[in-house]
Amino acid sequence: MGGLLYKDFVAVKGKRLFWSFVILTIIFCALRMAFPGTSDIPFFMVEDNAGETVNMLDFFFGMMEGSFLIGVISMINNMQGNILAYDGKSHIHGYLFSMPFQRKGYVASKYLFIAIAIYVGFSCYCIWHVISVAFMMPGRFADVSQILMAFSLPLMCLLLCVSAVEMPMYFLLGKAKSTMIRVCFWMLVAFFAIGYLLFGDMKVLSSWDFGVLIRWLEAHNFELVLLSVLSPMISLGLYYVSYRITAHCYERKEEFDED
Amino acid sequence: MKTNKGRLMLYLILSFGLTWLWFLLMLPKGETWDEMPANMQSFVALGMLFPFIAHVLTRWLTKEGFAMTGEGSMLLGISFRDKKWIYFLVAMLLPWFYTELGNVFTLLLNPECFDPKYYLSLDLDKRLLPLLPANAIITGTIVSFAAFGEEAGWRGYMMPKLLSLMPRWAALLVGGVIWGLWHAPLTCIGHNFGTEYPGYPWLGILLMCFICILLGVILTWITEMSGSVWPAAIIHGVNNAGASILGGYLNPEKERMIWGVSCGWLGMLIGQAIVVFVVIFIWRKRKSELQIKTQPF
Repeated sequence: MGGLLYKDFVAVKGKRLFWSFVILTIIFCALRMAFPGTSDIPFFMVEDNAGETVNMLDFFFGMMEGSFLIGVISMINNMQGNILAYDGKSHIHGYLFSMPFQRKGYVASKYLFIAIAIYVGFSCYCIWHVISVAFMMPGRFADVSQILMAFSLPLMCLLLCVSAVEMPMYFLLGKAKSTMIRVCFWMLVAFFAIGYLLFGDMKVLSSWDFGVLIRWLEAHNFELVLLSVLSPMISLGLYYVSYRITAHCYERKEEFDED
Repeated sequence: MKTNKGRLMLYLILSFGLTWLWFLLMLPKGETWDEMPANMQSFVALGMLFPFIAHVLTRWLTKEGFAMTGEGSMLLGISFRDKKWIYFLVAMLLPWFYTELGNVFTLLLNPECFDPKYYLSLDLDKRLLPLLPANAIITGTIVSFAAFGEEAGWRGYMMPKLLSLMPRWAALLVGGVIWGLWHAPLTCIGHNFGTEYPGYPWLGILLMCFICILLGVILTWITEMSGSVWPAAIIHGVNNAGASILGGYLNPEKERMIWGVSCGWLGMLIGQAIVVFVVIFIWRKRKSELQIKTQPF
Protein backbone atom coordinates (compact mmCIF):
# COMPACT_ATOMS: atom_id res chain seq x y z
CA MET A 1 0.00 0.00 0.00
CA GLY A 2 2.86 2.39 0.85
CA GLY A 3 4.41 1.79 -2.54
CA LEU A 4 1.15 2.53 -4.36
CA LEU A 5 0.67 5.73 -2.36
CA TYR A 6 4.23 6.82 -3.19
CA LYS A 7 3.61 6.11 -6.87
CA ASP A 8 0.57 8.41 -6.80
CA PHE A 9 2.63 11.01 -4.92
CA VAL A 10 5.13 10.99 -7.77
CA ALA A 11 2.31 11.06 -10.34
CA VAL A 12 0.92 14.34 -8.97
CA LYS A 13 4.47 15.79 -8.73
CA GLY A 14 4.18 15.73 -4.96
CA LYS A 15 7.71 16.96 -4.21
CA ARG A 16 7.26 19.99 -6.45
CA LEU A 17 3.90 20.73 -4.79
CA PHE A 18 5.46 20.39 -1.34
CA TRP A 19 8.33 22.78 -2.02
CA SER A 20 5.99 25.24 -3.78
CA PHE A 21 3.78 25.25 -0.70
CA VAL A 22 6.74 25.77 1.65
CA ILE A 23 8.17 28.65 -0.40
CA LEU A 24 4.77 30.31 -0.90
CA THR A 25 3.98 30.00 2.82
CA ILE A 26 7.29 31.58 3.82
CA ILE A 27 6.72 34.46 1.37
CA PHE A 28 3.12 34.87 2.55
CA CYS A 29 4.20 34.90 6.20
CA ALA A 30 6.99 37.41 5.55
CA LEU A 31 4.68 39.72 3.58
CA ARG A 32 1.93 39.47 6.19
CA MET A 33 4.36 40.38 8.97
CA ALA A 34 5.83 43.22 6.94
CA PHE A 35 2.37 44.62 6.09
CA PRO A 36 0.09 43.93 9.05
CA GLY A 37 -3.48 45.13 8.93
CA THR A 38 -3.10 46.58 12.40
CA SER A 39 -0.67 49.25 11.18
CA ASP A 40 -1.97 52.71 10.30
CA ILE A 41 -0.56 53.10 6.82
CA PRO A 42 -2.80 55.94 5.50
CA PHE A 43 -2.49 54.83 1.89
CA PHE A 44 -4.35 51.57 2.64
CA MET A 45 -7.01 52.90 5.03
CA VAL A 46 -10.36 53.48 3.35
CA GLU A 47 -13.90 54.06 4.52
CA ASP A 48 -16.55 51.60 3.33
CA ASN A 49 -20.26 52.28 2.62
CA ALA A 50 -21.14 51.66 6.27
CA GLY A 51 -18.70 54.34 7.41
CA GLU A 52 -16.31 51.78 8.88
CA THR A 53 -12.57 52.29 8.35
CA VAL A 54 -10.97 49.21 6.85
CA ASN A 55 -7.43 48.37 5.91
CA MET A 56 -7.15 47.24 2.28
CA LEU A 57 -4.07 45.19 3.20
CA ASP A 58 -6.45 42.91 5.10
CA PHE A 59 -8.60 42.67 1.99
CA PHE A 60 -5.59 41.78 -0.14
CA PHE A 61 -4.30 39.08 2.19
CA GLY A 62 -7.80 37.80 2.86
CA MET A 63 -8.26 37.37 -0.89
CA MET A 64 -5.00 35.44 -1.04
CA GLU A 65 -6.21 33.20 1.76
CA GLY A 66 -9.52 32.57 -0.03
CA SER A 67 -7.74 31.95 -3.32
CA PHE A 68 -5.48 29.43 -1.61
CA LEU A 69 -8.53 27.51 -0.34
CA ILE A 70 -10.13 27.50 -3.79
CA GLY A 71 -6.81 26.44 -5.34
CA VAL A 72 -6.43 23.55 -2.92
CA ILE A 73 -9.99 22.33 -3.55
CA SER A 74 -9.70 22.48 -7.35
CA MET A 75 -6.25 20.86 -7.31
CA ILE A 76 -7.45 17.92 -5.22
CA ASN A 77 -10.56 17.61 -7.39
CA ASN A 78 -8.35 17.27 -10.47
CA MET A 79 -6.02 14.80 -8.78
CA GLN A 80 -8.58 12.00 -8.89
CA GLY A 81 -8.60 11.73 -12.64
CA ASN A 82 -4.86 12.38 -12.93
CA ILE A 83 -3.73 9.53 -10.68
CA LEU A 84 -5.84 7.04 -12.63
CA ALA A 85 -4.81 8.47 -16.00
CA TYR A 86 -1.14 8.22 -14.98
CA ASP A 87 -1.57 4.50 -14.25
CA GLY A 88 -3.26 4.05 -17.60
CA LYS A 89 -0.47 5.85 -19.49
CA SER A 90 2.30 3.93 -17.74
CA HIS A 91 0.47 0.61 -18.32
CA ILE A 92 0.95 -0.33 -14.73
CA HIS A 93 -2.10 -2.59 -14.45
CA GLY A 94 -0.53 -5.50 -16.26
CA TYR A 95 2.53 -5.39 -14.01
CA LEU A 96 0.58 -4.78 -10.81
CA PHE A 97 -2.04 -7.48 -11.25
CA SER A 98 0.48 -10.07 -12.37
CA MET A 99 1.63 -9.97 -8.74
CA PRO A 100 -0.49 -11.44 -5.91
CA PHE A 101 -2.19 -8.12 -5.38
CA GLN A 102 -5.92 -7.65 -4.98
CA ARG A 103 -7.82 -5.17 -7.12
CA LYS A 104 -9.57 -4.12 -3.91
CA GLY A 105 -6.20 -2.96 -2.53
CA TYR A 106 -5.55 -0.94 -5.69
CA VAL A 107 -8.92 0.81 -5.34
CA ALA A 108 -8.27 1.36 -1.62
CA SER A 109 -4.92 3.02 -2.38
CA LYS A 110 -6.60 5.59 -4.64
CA TYR A 111 -9.33 6.38 -2.13
CA LEU A 112 -6.74 6.64 0.63
CA PHE A 113 -4.54 8.94 -1.43
CA ILE A 114 -7.38 11.37 -2.10
CA ALA A 115 -8.44 11.32 1.58
CA ILE A 116 -4.85 12.05 2.66
CA ALA A 117 -4.63 14.82 0.05
CA ILE A 118 -7.81 16.42 1.45
CA TYR A 119 -6.43 16.22 5.00
CA VAL A 120 -3.08 17.73 3.97
CA GLY A 121 -4.81 20.42 1.87
CA PHE A 122 -7.04 21.37 4.78
CA SER A 123 -4.04 21.52 7.15
CA CYS A 124 -2.14 23.76 4.71
CA TYR A 125 -5.16 26.09 4.48
CA CYS A 126 -5.35 26.24 8.31
CA ILE A 127 -1.72 27.39 8.40
CA TRP A 128 -2.45 30.14 5.86
CA HIS A 129 -5.54 31.19 7.79
CA VAL A 130 -3.60 31.45 11.07
CA ILE A 131 -0.91 33.58 9.40
CA SER A 132 -3.42 35.82 7.63
CA VAL A 133 -5.72 36.47 10.57
CA ALA A 134 -2.94 36.98 13.17
CA PHE A 135 -2.20 40.42 11.72
CA MET A 136 -5.72 41.48 10.76
CA MET A 137 -7.40 44.54 12.15
CA PRO A 138 -10.55 43.56 14.07
CA GLY A 139 -13.52 44.28 11.84
CA ARG A 140 -15.25 43.15 8.68
CA PHE A 141 -12.38 41.34 6.96
CA ALA A 142 -11.41 39.47 10.14
CA ASP A 143 -15.06 38.36 10.43
CA VAL A 144 -15.06 37.19 6.80
CA SER A 145 -11.84 35.29 7.37
CA GLN A 146 -13.31 33.58 10.43
CA ILE A 147 -16.44 32.67 8.42
CA LEU A 148 -14.22 31.14 5.74
CA MET A 149 -12.43 29.09 8.40
CA ALA A 150 -15.71 27.99 9.97
CA PHE A 151 -16.93 26.76 6.59
CA SER A 152 -13.63 25.25 5.46
CA LEU A 153 -14.18 21.96 7.31
CA PRO A 154 -17.70 21.42 5.87
CA LEU A 155 -16.28 22.42 2.46
CA MET A 156 -13.57 19.77 2.73
CA CYS A 157 -16.23 17.26 3.75
CA LEU A 158 -18.25 18.29 0.69
CA LEU A 159 -15.13 17.68 -1.41
CA LEU A 160 -14.93 14.21 0.14
CA CYS A 161 -18.58 13.60 -0.82
CA VAL A 162 -17.92 14.82 -4.37
CA SER A 163 -14.92 12.45 -4.52
CA ALA A 164 -17.18 9.64 -3.30
CA VAL A 165 -19.39 10.27 -6.37
CA GLU A 166 -16.61 10.92 -8.91
CA MET A 167 -14.16 8.15 -8.00
CA PRO A 168 -16.49 5.32 -9.12
CA MET A 169 -16.96 7.17 -12.42
CA TYR A 170 -13.21 7.44 -12.97
CA PHE A 171 -12.65 3.78 -12.13
CA LEU A 172 -15.48 2.37 -14.18
CA LEU A 173 -15.81 4.81 -17.10
CA GLY A 174 -12.29 6.21 -17.45
CA LYS A 175 -11.03 9.79 -17.34
CA ALA A 176 -12.39 11.00 -20.69
CA LYS A 177 -16.02 9.96 -20.14
CA SER A 178 -15.98 11.07 -16.50
CA THR A 179 -14.62 14.50 -17.45
CA MET A 180 -17.39 14.78 -20.06
CA ILE A 181 -20.04 13.96 -17.46
CA ARG A 182 -18.56 16.53 -15.05
CA VAL A 183 -18.49 19.24 -17.70
CA CYS A 184 -22.11 18.47 -18.68
CA PHE A 185 -23.17 18.67 -15.03
CA TRP A 186 -21.51 22.04 -14.44
CA MET A 187 -22.84 23.40 -17.71
CA LEU A 188 -26.33 22.46 -16.52
CA VAL A 189 -25.72 24.25 -13.22
CA ALA A 190 -24.39 27.31 -15.09
CA PHE A 191 -27.42 27.21 -17.39
CA PHE A 192 -29.84 27.31 -14.49
CA ALA A 193 -27.80 30.01 -12.72
CA ILE A 194 -27.84 32.24 -15.83
CA GLY A 195 -31.53 31.57 -16.26
CA TYR A 196 -32.18 32.69 -12.69
CA LEU A 197 -30.05 35.82 -13.14
CA LEU A 198 -32.00 36.74 -16.30
CA PHE A 199 -35.53 35.87 -15.26
CA GLY A 200 -35.48 35.24 -11.50
CA ASP A 201 -36.41 37.38 -8.52
CA MET A 202 -33.33 39.50 -7.74
CA LYS A 203 -34.77 41.08 -4.59
CA VAL A 204 -33.21 38.32 -2.52
CA LEU A 205 -29.71 39.23 -3.72
CA SER A 206 -30.20 43.00 -3.41
CA SER A 207 -31.11 42.69 0.29
CA TRP A 208 -28.10 40.46 1.00
CA ASP A 209 -25.33 41.99 3.07
CA PHE A 210 -22.28 40.70 4.89
CA GLY A 211 -23.69 42.10 8.11
CA VAL A 212 -26.82 39.98 7.63
CA LEU A 213 -24.68 36.90 7.09
CA ILE A 214 -22.56 37.56 10.17
CA ARG A 215 -25.67 38.16 12.32
CA TRP A 216 -27.23 34.97 10.99
CA LEU A 217 -24.09 32.98 11.80
CA GLU A 218 -23.90 34.42 15.31
CA ALA A 219 -27.55 33.50 15.87
CA HIS A 220 -27.03 29.95 14.56
CA ASN A 221 -23.78 29.02 16.33
CA PHE A 222 -25.25 25.72 17.49
CA GLU A 223 -26.15 24.70 13.93
CA LEU A 224 -22.63 25.56 12.74
CA VAL A 225 -21.03 23.45 15.48
CA LEU A 226 -23.45 20.62 14.70
CA LEU A 227 -22.47 20.86 11.03
CA SER A 228 -18.77 20.73 11.98
CA VAL A 229 -19.39 17.63 14.09
CA LEU A 230 -21.68 15.75 11.72
CA SER A 231 -20.18 16.59 8.32
CA PRO A 232 -16.90 14.64 8.82
CA MET A 233 -18.77 11.57 10.06
CA ILE A 234 -21.35 11.61 7.27
CA SER A 235 -18.82 12.32 4.53
CA LEU A 236 -16.41 9.62 5.75
CA GLY A 237 -19.30 7.16 5.91
CA LEU A 238 -20.31 8.01 2.33
CA TYR A 239 -16.69 7.79 1.20
CA TYR A 240 -16.32 4.30 2.69
CA VAL A 241 -19.58 3.11 1.09
CA SER A 242 -18.35 4.52 -2.24
CA TYR A 243 -15.07 2.61 -1.84
CA ARG A 244 -16.87 -0.68 -1.15
CA ILE A 245 -19.17 -0.25 -4.16
CA THR A 246 -16.30 0.79 -6.45
CA ALA A 247 -14.05 -2.08 -5.30
CA HIS A 248 -16.85 -4.60 -5.92
CA CYS A 249 -17.73 -3.21 -9.36
CA TYR A 250 -14.08 -2.80 -10.38
CA GLU A 251 -13.27 -6.42 -9.53
CA ARG A 252 -16.24 -7.66 -11.57
CA LYS A 253 -15.38 -5.28 -14.44
CA GLU A 254 -11.80 -6.54 -14.61
CA GLU A 255 -12.96 -10.18 -14.50
CA PHE A 256 -15.40 -9.46 -17.34
CA ASP A 257 -12.67 -7.76 -19.41
CA GLU A 258 -10.34 -10.72 -18.87
CA ASP A 259 -13.05 -13.14 -20.02
CA MET B 1 27.09 11.56 13.39
CA LYS B 2 26.69 7.86 13.98
CA THR B 3 25.78 7.43 17.64
CA ASN B 4 22.29 7.80 19.00
CA LYS B 5 23.57 10.19 21.66
CA GLY B 6 25.10 12.51 19.06
CA ARG B 7 22.00 12.38 16.89
CA LEU B 8 19.77 13.11 19.86
CA MET B 9 21.88 16.12 20.85
CA LEU B 10 21.70 17.44 17.29
CA TYR B 11 17.94 17.01 17.27
CA LEU B 12 17.55 18.82 20.60
CA ILE B 13 19.76 21.71 19.47
CA LEU B 14 17.71 22.09 16.28
CA SER B 15 14.35 21.66 18.00
CA PHE B 16 15.04 24.06 20.86
CA GLY B 17 16.98 26.48 18.67
CA LEU B 18 14.35 26.81 15.95
CA THR B 19 11.38 26.94 18.33
CA TRP B 20 12.87 29.37 20.82
CA LEU B 21 14.01 31.61 17.95
CA TRP B 22 10.44 31.58 16.65
CA PHE B 23 9.06 32.42 20.11
CA LEU B 24 11.66 35.16 20.56
CA LEU B 25 10.78 36.78 17.25
CA MET B 26 7.01 36.31 17.31
CA LEU B 27 6.01 36.91 20.92
CA PRO B 28 4.85 40.51 21.28
CA LYS B 29 7.14 42.31 23.68
CA GLY B 30 5.74 43.01 27.13
CA GLU B 31 2.46 41.16 26.61
CA THR B 32 1.44 38.15 28.67
CA TRP B 33 -0.23 35.16 27.06
CA ASP B 34 -3.69 36.17 28.29
CA GLU B 35 -3.24 39.71 26.97
CA MET B 36 -2.45 38.45 23.45
CA PRO B 37 -5.38 38.24 21.03
CA ALA B 38 -6.48 34.67 20.27
CA ASN B 39 -5.37 35.06 16.66
CA MET B 40 -1.85 35.94 17.74
CA GLN B 41 -1.80 33.01 20.18
CA SER B 42 -2.59 30.65 17.27
CA PHE B 43 0.18 32.25 15.21
CA VAL B 44 2.75 31.77 17.97
CA ALA B 45 1.47 28.19 18.40
CA LEU B 46 2.71 27.44 14.86
CA GLY B 47 5.97 26.86 16.71
CA MET B 48 4.52 23.41 17.39
CA LEU B 49 5.64 22.45 13.87
CA PHE B 50 9.32 22.94 14.63
CA PRO B 51 9.98 19.61 16.40
CA PHE B 52 8.90 17.83 13.20
CA ILE B 53 11.04 20.19 11.09
CA ALA B 54 13.97 19.49 13.43
CA HIS B 55 13.31 15.74 13.06
CA VAL B 56 13.48 15.95 9.26
CA LEU B 57 16.59 18.17 9.36
CA THR B 58 18.33 15.81 11.80
CA ARG B 59 17.62 12.78 9.60
CA TRP B 60 18.90 14.68 6.58
CA LEU B 61 22.12 15.73 8.32
CA THR B 62 22.80 12.35 9.94
CA LYS B 63 21.77 10.45 6.79
CA GLU B 64 19.49 8.13 8.77
CA GLY B 65 17.01 7.98 5.93
CA PHE B 66 13.29 8.75 5.85
CA ALA B 67 11.64 5.35 6.23
CA MET B 68 8.00 5.74 7.20
CA THR B 69 7.54 2.46 9.06
CA GLY B 70 9.63 -0.13 10.85
CA GLU B 71 12.68 -0.08 13.08
CA GLY B 72 14.44 3.27 13.18
CA SER B 73 11.73 4.88 11.02
CA MET B 74 9.84 8.15 11.37
CA LEU B 75 6.79 6.16 12.65
CA LEU B 76 4.49 7.94 10.19
CA GLY B 77 2.76 4.83 8.87
CA ILE B 78 -0.75 3.80 9.89
CA SER B 79 -1.72 0.16 10.35
CA PHE B 80 -5.04 -1.21 11.60
CA ARG B 81 -3.87 -4.82 11.62
CA ASP B 82 -3.56 -6.87 14.83
CA LYS B 83 -6.33 -4.77 16.43
CA LYS B 84 -4.21 -1.59 16.27
CA TRP B 85 -7.33 0.35 15.28
CA ILE B 86 -8.27 0.18 18.96
CA TYR B 87 -5.43 2.58 19.79
CA PHE B 88 -6.80 5.17 17.37
CA LEU B 89 -10.20 4.93 19.06
CA VAL B 90 -8.56 5.15 22.50
CA ALA B 91 -6.61 8.19 21.30
CA MET B 92 -9.86 10.01 20.46
CA LEU B 93 -11.68 9.19 23.70
CA LEU B 94 -8.94 9.08 26.35
CA PRO B 95 -8.41 12.89 26.66
CA TRP B 96 -12.13 13.37 27.31
CA PHE B 97 -12.04 10.62 29.92
CA TYR B 98 -9.10 11.96 31.92
CA THR B 99 -10.34 15.55 31.61
CA GLU B 100 -13.70 14.64 33.14
CA LEU B 101 -11.93 12.47 35.74
CA GLY B 102 -9.76 15.46 36.60
CA ASN B 103 -12.86 17.67 36.93
CA VAL B 104 -14.34 15.14 39.37
CA PHE B 105 -11.23 15.43 41.53
CA THR B 106 -11.35 19.22 41.25
CA LEU B 107 -14.87 19.07 42.67
CA LEU B 108 -13.73 16.79 45.48
CA LEU B 109 -10.85 19.13 46.38
CA ASN B 110 -12.86 22.32 45.93
CA PRO B 111 -16.64 21.72 46.11
CA GLU B 112 -17.28 25.49 46.25
CA CYS B 113 -16.30 25.92 42.60
CA PHE B 114 -19.36 23.94 41.46
CA ASP B 115 -21.72 26.45 39.89
CA PRO B 116 -24.73 25.05 37.99
CA LYS B 117 -25.39 28.51 36.55
CA TYR B 118 -21.80 29.12 35.38
CA TYR B 119 -22.36 27.82 31.86
CA LEU B 120 -25.51 29.93 31.56
CA SER B 121 -23.47 33.07 32.26
CA LEU B 122 -21.08 32.40 29.35
CA ASP B 123 -21.73 33.98 25.97
CA LEU B 124 -22.50 30.63 24.32
CA ASP B 125 -25.56 28.83 23.00
CA LYS B 126 -26.77 26.70 25.90
CA ARG B 127 -27.43 23.73 23.63
CA LEU B 128 -23.71 23.53 22.83
CA LEU B 129 -22.60 22.03 26.16
CA PRO B 130 -23.38 18.38 25.33
CA LEU B 131 -21.81 18.86 21.91
CA LEU B 132 -18.53 20.28 23.19
CA PRO B 133 -16.74 16.92 23.75
CA ALA B 134 -17.79 15.64 20.32
CA ASN B 135 -16.70 18.94 18.75
CA ALA B 136 -13.34 18.80 20.54
CA ILE B 137 -12.78 15.17 19.50
CA ILE B 138 -13.67 15.79 15.84
CA THR B 139 -11.77 19.08 15.48
CA GLY B 140 -8.85 17.83 17.60
CA THR B 141 -8.54 14.80 15.32
CA ILE B 142 -8.98 16.59 12.01
CA VAL B 143 -6.99 19.72 12.90
CA SER B 144 -4.19 17.62 14.37
CA PHE B 145 -1.44 18.92 12.11
CA ALA B 146 0.02 21.17 14.81
CA ALA B 147 -0.06 18.39 17.39
CA PHE B 148 1.44 16.11 14.74
CA GLY B 149 4.28 18.61 14.39
CA GLU B 150 5.17 18.10 18.06
CA GLU B 151 4.56 14.36 18.28
CA ALA B 152 6.49 13.57 15.10
CA GLY B 153 9.46 15.16 16.83
CA TRP B 154 9.14 14.09 20.45
CA ARG B 155 7.62 10.63 20.06
CA GLY B 156 8.81 10.05 16.52
CA TYR B 157 12.49 10.80 17.13
CA MET B 158 13.40 11.83 20.67
CA MET B 159 11.76 9.01 22.63
CA PRO B 160 13.12 6.13 20.49
CA LYS B 161 16.60 7.62 20.89
CA LEU B 162 16.18 8.05 24.66
CA LEU B 163 14.81 4.51 25.02
CA SER B 164 17.90 3.18 23.26
CA LEU B 165 20.20 5.07 25.66
CA MET B 166 18.64 4.46 29.08
CA PRO B 167 16.05 2.37 30.94
CA ARG B 168 12.42 3.07 30.10
CA TRP B 169 11.59 4.81 33.39
CA ALA B 170 14.58 7.17 32.99
CA ALA B 171 13.76 7.85 29.33
CA LEU B 172 10.16 8.79 30.21
CA LEU B 173 11.35 11.13 33.00
CA VAL B 174 14.06 12.77 30.90
CA GLY B 175 11.76 13.03 27.86
CA GLY B 176 9.05 14.71 29.92
CA VAL B 177 11.50 17.20 31.43
CA ILE B 178 12.91 18.07 27.99
CA TRP B 179 9.41 18.57 26.62
CA GLY B 180 8.43 20.71 29.62
CA LEU B 181 11.54 22.88 29.30
CA TRP B 182 10.80 23.36 25.59
CA HIS B 183 7.59 25.14 26.70
CA ALA B 184 9.55 27.44 29.06
CA PRO B 185 9.36 30.68 26.98
CA LEU B 186 5.57 30.33 26.81
CA THR B 187 5.30 29.42 30.50
CA CYS B 188 7.29 32.55 31.34
CA ILE B 189 4.70 34.76 29.63
CA GLY B 190 1.80 33.05 31.38
CA HIS B 191 0.75 30.19 29.12
CA ASN B 192 -1.41 27.65 31.04
CA PHE B 193 -0.80 29.04 34.54
CA GLY B 194 -0.86 32.83 34.22
CA THR B 195 1.67 35.08 35.96
CA GLU B 196 0.08 35.67 39.35
CA TYR B 197 1.07 32.50 41.21
CA PRO B 198 3.75 32.26 43.88
CA GLY B 199 7.10 31.14 42.55
CA TYR B 200 6.40 32.52 39.06
CA PRO B 201 7.85 31.43 36.61
CA TRP B 202 9.88 28.61 38.16
CA LEU B 203 6.97 26.78 39.75
CA GLY B 204 5.14 27.02 36.42
CA ILE B 205 8.08 25.52 34.53
CA LEU B 206 8.36 22.74 37.14
CA LEU B 207 4.64 22.03 36.91
CA MET B 208 4.84 22.00 33.10
CA CYS B 209 7.66 19.43 33.27
CA PHE B 210 5.53 17.29 35.59
CA ILE B 211 2.52 17.52 33.27
CA CYS B 212 4.72 16.63 30.31
CA ILE B 213 6.12 13.60 32.15
CA LEU B 214 2.59 12.33 32.81
CA LEU B 215 1.34 13.01 29.29
CA GLY B 216 4.60 11.69 27.86
CA VAL B 217 3.99 8.28 29.45
CA ILE B 218 0.57 8.03 27.80
CA LEU B 219 1.83 9.29 24.44
CA THR B 220 4.90 7.05 24.39
CA TRP B 221 2.80 4.02 25.34
CA ILE B 222 0.29 4.57 22.58
CA THR B 223 3.04 5.25 20.04
CA GLU B 224 4.78 2.01 20.94
CA MET B 225 1.57 -0.03 20.87
CA SER B 226 0.33 1.37 17.55
CA GLY B 227 3.74 1.69 15.87
CA SER B 228 2.75 5.20 14.75
CA VAL B 229 2.86 8.79 16.02
CA TRP B 230 -0.65 9.50 14.71
CA PRO B 231 -2.56 8.27 17.79
CA ALA B 232 -0.25 10.43 19.94
CA ALA B 233 -0.98 13.40 17.65
CA ILE B 234 -4.72 12.77 18.04
CA ILE B 235 -4.46 12.57 21.86
CA HIS B 236 -2.44 15.80 21.87
CA GLY B 237 -4.90 17.56 19.55
CA VAL B 238 -8.00 16.49 21.47
CA ASN B 239 -6.27 17.31 24.79
CA ASN B 240 -5.57 20.86 23.58
CA ALA B 241 -9.16 21.24 22.34
CA GLY B 242 -10.32 20.63 25.94
CA ALA B 243 -13.20 18.18 25.70
CA SER B 244 -15.43 18.51 28.77
CA ILE B 245 -19.05 18.77 29.84
CA LEU B 246 -18.37 19.03 33.57
CA GLY B 247 -16.06 21.98 32.92
CA GLY B 248 -19.14 24.05 32.08
CA TYR B 249 -20.20 23.80 35.74
CA LEU B 250 -16.86 24.67 37.35
CA ASN B 251 -16.46 28.39 37.98
CA PRO B 252 -12.73 29.27 37.78
CA GLU B 253 -13.31 32.42 39.85
CA LYS B 254 -14.30 30.26 42.84
CA GLU B 255 -11.24 27.98 42.60
CA ARG B 256 -8.87 28.06 45.53
CA MET B 257 -5.13 27.44 45.56
CA ILE B 258 -3.38 24.56 47.27
CA TRP B 259 0.43 24.82 47.58
CA GLY B 260 0.37 27.66 45.05
CA VAL B 261 -1.46 25.57 42.43
CA SER B 262 -5.14 26.00 41.55
CA CYS B 263 -7.48 23.12 42.38
CA GLY B 264 -8.39 22.91 38.70
CA TRP B 265 -4.83 21.99 37.77
CA LEU B 266 -4.40 19.70 40.77
CA GLY B 267 -7.56 17.80 39.86
CA MET B 268 -6.39 17.44 36.28
CA LEU B 269 -2.98 16.17 37.43
CA ILE B 270 -4.60 13.55 39.68
CA GLY B 271 -6.86 12.42 36.83
CA GLN B 272 -3.92 12.08 34.45
CA ALA B 273 -1.80 10.34 37.10
CA ILE B 274 -4.49 7.67 37.53
CA VAL B 275 -4.54 7.05 33.77
CA VAL B 276 -0.72 6.89 33.80
CA PHE B 277 -0.77 4.21 36.51
CA VAL B 278 -3.22 2.16 34.45
CA VAL B 279 -1.02 2.60 31.36
CA ILE B 280 2.09 1.49 33.29
CA PHE B 281 0.21 -1.54 34.61
CA ILE B 282 -0.91 -2.54 31.08
CA TRP B 283 2.61 -1.94 29.75
CA ARG B 284 4.28 -4.13 32.39
CA LYS B 285 1.67 -6.85 31.94
CA ARG B 286 2.26 -6.88 28.19
CA LYS B 287 6.05 -7.00 28.72
CA SER B 288 5.75 -9.98 31.06
CA GLU B 289 3.40 -11.75 28.58
CA LEU B 290 5.92 -11.22 25.79
CA GLN B 291 8.72 -12.53 28.02
CA ILE B 292 6.69 -15.68 28.79
CA LYS B 293 6.00 -16.22 25.06
CA THR B 294 9.68 -15.88 24.09
CA GLN B 295 11.01 -18.06 26.92
CA PRO B 296 12.37 -21.39 25.68
CA PHE B 297 10.77 -24.55 27.03
